[in-house]
Order: sequence, then C-alpha cells, then structure tokens
Amino acid sequence: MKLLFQFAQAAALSAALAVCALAQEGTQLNPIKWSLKADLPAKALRGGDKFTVQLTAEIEEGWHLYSTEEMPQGPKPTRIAFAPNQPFELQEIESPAPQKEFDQNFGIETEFYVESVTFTLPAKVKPDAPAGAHKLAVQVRFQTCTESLCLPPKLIKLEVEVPVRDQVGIRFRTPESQKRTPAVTARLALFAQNRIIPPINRPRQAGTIFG
Amino acid sequence: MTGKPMVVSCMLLCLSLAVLLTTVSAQPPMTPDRKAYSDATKIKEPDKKIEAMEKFITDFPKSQSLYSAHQVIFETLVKNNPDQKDRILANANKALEKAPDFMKTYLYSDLANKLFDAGIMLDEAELLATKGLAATEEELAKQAKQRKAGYYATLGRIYLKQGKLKEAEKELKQANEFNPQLTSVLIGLAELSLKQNNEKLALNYYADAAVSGKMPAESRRQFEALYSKSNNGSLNGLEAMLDAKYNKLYPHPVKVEHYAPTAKRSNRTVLAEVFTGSGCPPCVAADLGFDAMMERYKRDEVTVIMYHLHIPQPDPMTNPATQARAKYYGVGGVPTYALEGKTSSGGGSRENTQSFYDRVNPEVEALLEKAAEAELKLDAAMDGATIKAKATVNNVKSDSAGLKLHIVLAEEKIRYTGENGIRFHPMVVRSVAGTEYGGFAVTAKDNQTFEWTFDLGAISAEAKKHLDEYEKAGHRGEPFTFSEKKDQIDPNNLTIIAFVQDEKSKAVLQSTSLKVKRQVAVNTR
Repeated sequence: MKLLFQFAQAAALSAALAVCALAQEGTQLNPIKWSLKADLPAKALRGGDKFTVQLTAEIEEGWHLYSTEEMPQGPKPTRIAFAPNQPFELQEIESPAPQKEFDQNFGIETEFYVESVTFTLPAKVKPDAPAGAHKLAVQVRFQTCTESLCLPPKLIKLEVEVPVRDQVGIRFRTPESQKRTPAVTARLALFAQNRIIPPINRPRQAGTIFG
Repeated sequence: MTGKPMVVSCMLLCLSLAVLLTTVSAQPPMTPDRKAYSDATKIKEPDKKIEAMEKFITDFPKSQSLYSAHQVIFETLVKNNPDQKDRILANANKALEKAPDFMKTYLYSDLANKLFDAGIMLDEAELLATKGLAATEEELAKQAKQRKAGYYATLGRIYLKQGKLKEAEKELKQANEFNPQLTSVLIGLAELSLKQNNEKLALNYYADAAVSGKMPAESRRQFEALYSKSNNGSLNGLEAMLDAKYNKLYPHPVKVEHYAPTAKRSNRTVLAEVFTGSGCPPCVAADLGFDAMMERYKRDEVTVIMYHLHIPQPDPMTNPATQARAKYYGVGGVPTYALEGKTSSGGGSRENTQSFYDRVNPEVEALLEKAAEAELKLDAAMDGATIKAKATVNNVKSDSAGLKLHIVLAEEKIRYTGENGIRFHPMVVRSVAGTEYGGFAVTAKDNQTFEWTFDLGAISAEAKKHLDEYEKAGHRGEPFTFSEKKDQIDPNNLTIIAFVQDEKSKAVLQSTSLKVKRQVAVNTR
C-alpha cells in the first residue's frame, strides 16, 4: 500500500509537473544542465598517464535523458565523445544503470535517466601530448522528451582544464647542456603542482623547455 | 497514514491546478467551464460550495473537470455531512466514472482513505481500496506484458538466426501478442514466414511493419522486392495496400460529432497553427486531435495548418517557411499549437488523443463565440504552376500599429510514414507569403488588398534545397539520410489560408481559407 501511495504521488507529481512545463512555451526550454569535472592527480599529468572526467547531467522533473545504448525503434541514445584533435584519448565510458520503463510514446521499453546522472569518462594523455594547460573538450549529443513534448536534439561542448607536463625524464637528461639546474628542478616541481612558474634567471638556451 | 491521503489529494488538486495554470499562462482565455469550476473551488462555506459544484456539473456535463467536481463534493460531504451516505457514495462513483483512466487507481486510493480518516463507511472504503488494488494489479500486469515482449522478441530473433524455426515462431508470436507494435518482431515473423515458404504471410507481416514507421531501410528493400516478385515485377498498388493496412490497424482514436453552432456563435474562423514533427512520438495525440477537429468543424469554423519541423528527428516536410513561423512563435519543442495566435504545448501518444481532443476542443469552442476583429476576402487562381492569391482586409477593429496579413499555401494531405507512425499529414504548410515569410503590413482599416504569387516550382526547389542542405549538414551533429524527401507539391491538393495577426500580441483577428481550383475561386469571411 505504501508503495502504491508513493507511486501515486510520484506519478501525480510528474504529471502535474509535465503539465506545468507545458506552460513555458515560447521560451527555449533547457531541462538538462550539464557540467564537467576532471579528477586529476596531485602530480601533473604527462604522456601516457590516466585520469578520469566526470560528466554530470541534472535533469528537471518530467524529462528523460536517454541512455547511451542504441534502442531500435526508440529515441536516439545520448552520445558522449571527446572533441577531435586533442592530446587525450577517451577510454570506455562508465554509465550508471539507467531506468527501464515501457514508453507508450515509442511503444517499447526505453532506457533513460531522471533527476541526475554522472558518467565517468576514463581518459589517457596521448604519449606525444605537448606540455601546457590544455582544455579537454567533451561533446554530448542528446535528445530529451517528456510524455507530452520533445525538444530538438542538442549538440553541446563542455571544457575542463587539464594541465600536462612534458616528458621530463627523457628530455631533461639530454643533452648535457640541458641538465637540470636547481632552479629548473624547482620550477618543474611548481609546474607539477599547477602553480605559476616564476621566471628563471639564466640566459635562454636553444633546446630548453623554459626560459 | 493520515498524512498520505492528504498528500495524494494535494497532488490531485495540484494536477487540476496545473491544468488551470496551463490555460492561464499559456494564454488562451479560461474556458467558461474552467472558470466556473475555479470559482466554485474558492467557496469556503460547505453547502454553498456543494451547490456551486452541482451547478457546474449541470451546466458543463462534458467538462474535463467533472470528476474533480464530484471529488470535491465527496470530500466536502465526508467532512461536513458524514450522515449523507448515499450522496457520498454517488459522488465517489461519479468521480470514478468521469476520471481519465490514468487517474483512476489514485482516485480509488484517495476516496478510500478519505472515508477511513473520517472513520465512516468502512465497508465502502474497503470496497474502494479493493477495487483500487485490482485496477493497479491490472495496470501492472499490462506493464509486465509490455516489458516481457522485448525479451520474447530477442529470444525469437536469436532462435531465428540459429535456424531453430519452431522455437523462433513460439517466442515471436508470444512477443507479438504482448506488444503488437514491436516492429522488430513483425520483421522477425516476416523472415520466419519466408523460411517457411509462406510469402503471402511474410508480405502481410512486412506490411504491418511498414506502416509502423519504424521499419529499417534494409527490411523495406526486402519487403519491396518480395512485393514486386508477387506483383509481376511492379511496385504498383503497394502504397494503396499500405494505406488500407494503416487505416485498418490504426483507426482514428477520436469519436467526432459535428459541431452544432451555438446561439453565441460569432463570425470568426478559428485558426489553429500546429508545430509538429513526423519523428515526434508525443506529437501523435496533437496531430490526430487536430485531425478530428478538421472533421468536427466546417472550413469556415476552424482552419488547421501544420508546420513541420526537424524535432526531434529530421522531417522531410520541413521548409524555411515553417522554420520562420516557429521562430516567430519561439517554439521550443513539439507539439506546440497556437489557437488564434496563443500558444500551448504538449500532446501524447495515440492512446492520449481523445483526452488531448477533450482538453483542447472546449478552447476552440469558446473562441468560436468571440467576434472576429477584421473581415477577409480571399481569391485564388491557379495558372499552370503558379497560384495568384489576392486578399482584401476590411473592417479592422484593432488600433494596433503592428497588424500583418499572412497568406499561407498548404498541401491538404501528404502521405509519409515517419518515425511516429502517422501516415497521412493534413494541411502541411508549403510556403508563407512575404519577405522572409513575414506577411504584409496592414495599414488601413478598410479595403486594403494584398496579392502574392506562389510559384510551385520555386517552392518545391526551395524545399529540396533546404532538405539537401540539412541532410548534408547532419541532424545536430548526427549524419542521416532522408528515406524520402517530400519536396514535390501536388497541384490538385492545395489550400490557401489568409489571416490577420497582431505581430506584437500574436493575436489573430480573423482567418479564412480557400481550396485552390484550376479556375478562379472566391471566398469571403
């Protein structure tokens, strides 16, 4: 009985909200808000390192964000990808289990998320990634509907800063003239912590990273 | 336990209020029935409240709020006149009878709890709760069948691939019984029939799948090859066969009664502008609901026009003119419809068509009693592949400086099966007159005439260019191919619509329409 009540409340609420949402016509609806966060290790990343990015969707009541799985005869799945030409590779996305319910509109069982969902995007720095404060760009294409309204699909791009340091171990050992001085070592340590690097007081030398 | 019925009750009230709020904020005038109901809910004195609700029920026997009124009377009696058992029960029964199906299970629970909390009529409360439980079980069983169908379908297709035809047949037929809409099952059954050398049955299953709107291109090719083989190498008659199949499988879900003008009927022709998408599942209820209105009303009572948009899927009936009108109204999603320029949104599945119609139709009827604020005379003549339209505006009542006359060219019926399964699309807008489809400024109160020539060849070419470019660019980042491009216009199937609109308030002052004939035609409103 308790369940019945909860279901009744949820259904009535969602119906009421769906109807309320209808009153907002004429304005561009934006019921799904996305955010992106990088989980970076304390030490700055370099080529080959792995890290994760959390992509979160906050979904307004009554709206469905469809899962990343293809649903024949169903809505277009949500697609997540890294923008091309970046020094990062996307590994296999970890998606939480979606809700599954028969959708009278599509006539099939659809997979979708409500309220909020966070996708974990395991990433790898490409081996040849140049040093610098890169912006990792994630592209999301999604369709969203309620029981009574569909919005145009959206293609959005979100960015998060991911600093990458150089392949220190390799490049600083050679040639002899580029051996680390204490000042260079100190600066590398700062760089690794993503902190502002003070200028170094030595003449610029060809082939060095800083200066 | 005491708090729960209140919560449910609040939810139900919220739902009713939300419906009312929609009407208010979505602009259409509050219909007389909703106003009467709303006024009655505000009365505090129990007897007077019951009296007002009973009057509302007598005055508006077809109102959507009827069940809510019975519910309010029930609640008021339970609280204030618990001895009037027959009256309480009669209102409980009426509330249940008039409530839409999706509300019934909640209502049973709500009514039973009201009685339980008041400590009265426990036998009746028991009956209500028992019936509510049975209705819920029935609903859950239906849902379970629909979910199971997917698994039977998968199993059946696996067996089919493995060549286990007997097992495949069993599972696919079970899936088909539980959910006849599953296209993958219909295709599976067609393939199975072919393996069993029954081409006639295969054709039948393929045809069922074809009218669902969800048939993959490869299956369509197999279907056409099979049809052609059985038809002396020709596809002649295929679409007519599918038309018949569609009409049989998907009968119109609304029972229509022709409109009988009331004493208050004005000289207004109500204009309904519908923004829709052939790949939009919840547009089905709106599309079919307005179809029903086209049947209910005569041409000089209501004019419906449909603007197709690429929402949420690419729609081959979209063109720059439909997109311009969507931009003008700020259409965020589909379905959205404007009644005399006042927009609302929201539809539903085919099963929701009747409730959509019942919700919107009273608004149309109220508008039919509102006097027109201009007069329109529309002439149209077809000469080869061009249509010359001439509209004269008279007797303008508005003083607004932003009045415009719009002339629209619509194709009365286009056959196209999109992803939402609708096969026949009525009154599809092909073009809108004026620079950037923006109409013409109305600057005089009387006798201002506007002329516009619709060049069918140019309109067709513009539609094709739009569809080609859209296909090339991809649908918001996703490559796709139109199964058909509906850029060709049937010159024997056209209507011209003219309306005067206040650009700022978007209110439509008057509209008229005229079927285009090859000889000169005239219509006056």
